[in-house]
Amino acid sequence: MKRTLRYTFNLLAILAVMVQLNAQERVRGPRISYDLASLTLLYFDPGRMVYTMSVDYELKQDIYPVIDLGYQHVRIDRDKYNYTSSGMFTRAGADVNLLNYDKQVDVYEMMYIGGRYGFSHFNQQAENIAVPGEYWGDFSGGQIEKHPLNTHWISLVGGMRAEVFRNFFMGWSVFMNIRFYQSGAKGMDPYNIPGFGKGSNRVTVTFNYALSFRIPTQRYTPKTKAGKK
Amino acid sequence: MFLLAVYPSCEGDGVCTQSVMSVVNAGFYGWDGSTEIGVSVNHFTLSGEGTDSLLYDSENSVTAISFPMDMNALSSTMILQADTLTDTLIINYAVVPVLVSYECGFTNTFEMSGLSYTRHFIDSVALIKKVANLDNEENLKIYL
Repeated sequence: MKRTLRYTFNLLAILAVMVQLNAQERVRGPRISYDLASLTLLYFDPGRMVYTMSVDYELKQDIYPVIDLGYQHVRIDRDKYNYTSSGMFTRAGADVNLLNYDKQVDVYEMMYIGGRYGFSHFNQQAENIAVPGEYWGDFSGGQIEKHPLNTHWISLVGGMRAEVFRNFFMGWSVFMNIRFYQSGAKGMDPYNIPGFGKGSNRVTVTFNYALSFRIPTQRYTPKTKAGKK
Repeated sequence: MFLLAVYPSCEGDGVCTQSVMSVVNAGFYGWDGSTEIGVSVNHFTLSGEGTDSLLYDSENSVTAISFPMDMNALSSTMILQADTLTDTLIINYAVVPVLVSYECGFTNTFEMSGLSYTRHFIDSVALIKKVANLDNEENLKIYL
């Protein structure tokens, strides 16, 4: 394991040295991000864990196709029920950088907007359902069996990203998610749809705070950005 | 602060102020010629078989009733009495849990599949909405 890590870091260092730029060149390569915003769930919603990774790539100086992949697990234990849900999501789309660098080419700060198509496949179930009954007596032991759900939505994205060290980035983004299709719900709205948010809402707003590393695999001279006013 | 402002709040820990008891809603009806009209019942009592308390005990006129059913059974027998006449209404159903909210938990809805009844002061009973839940819509029409 140590050897693998050492080789990986060496490879990354070599790639970074290889990609020595002249003034009119930019470096690009797949940029891998991990969302740290889900750590706030430890305080706000401790029954929910979310893991989200993203990969984007600088297609042109302003255009960044991106794919997000994530997994969510929810467990809620109450006196009146136990609820569990787990599943994956993916979002695919692109971000467009709005910053005008003038004649600075080797700059990677971004203020961007973008769009995503989102899809989630997950399951949910409820057990130990109890319902008070004053007249006939209480009910306990009910359940809603595990069943799969699919949700589709689109997201509008806005955010900022800065290169804090060479090839290392930090940034935040806000997603406005609009759900347009859901199937499979039986007896209950999902507590939270992976990648989308609160299950009873058609429109949600979610927040992302990501650390990113760009694997510098290529240098190129942008055709459209240099000299842009 | 920004993060606090935009991050979706969690749910499930709030206070529940909503009832989670699904009930059957029924109205009393009669006929004026060929026209259906609402009617009232005097000196009316209602109870569930096997219980020792009354759901209704009214000297005044009653035009509609709401009653819960046994969540631990597949049928409930209701005993209706008007003046000195007594009828029995047996309702068959499936108990289906439905989430009210993550704060309140679940209700048990009743998906009614059939009913039978005696005919002392009741003429007939029509099942017009099969699912009894938390809404106030009428499930049964009891014709006198």
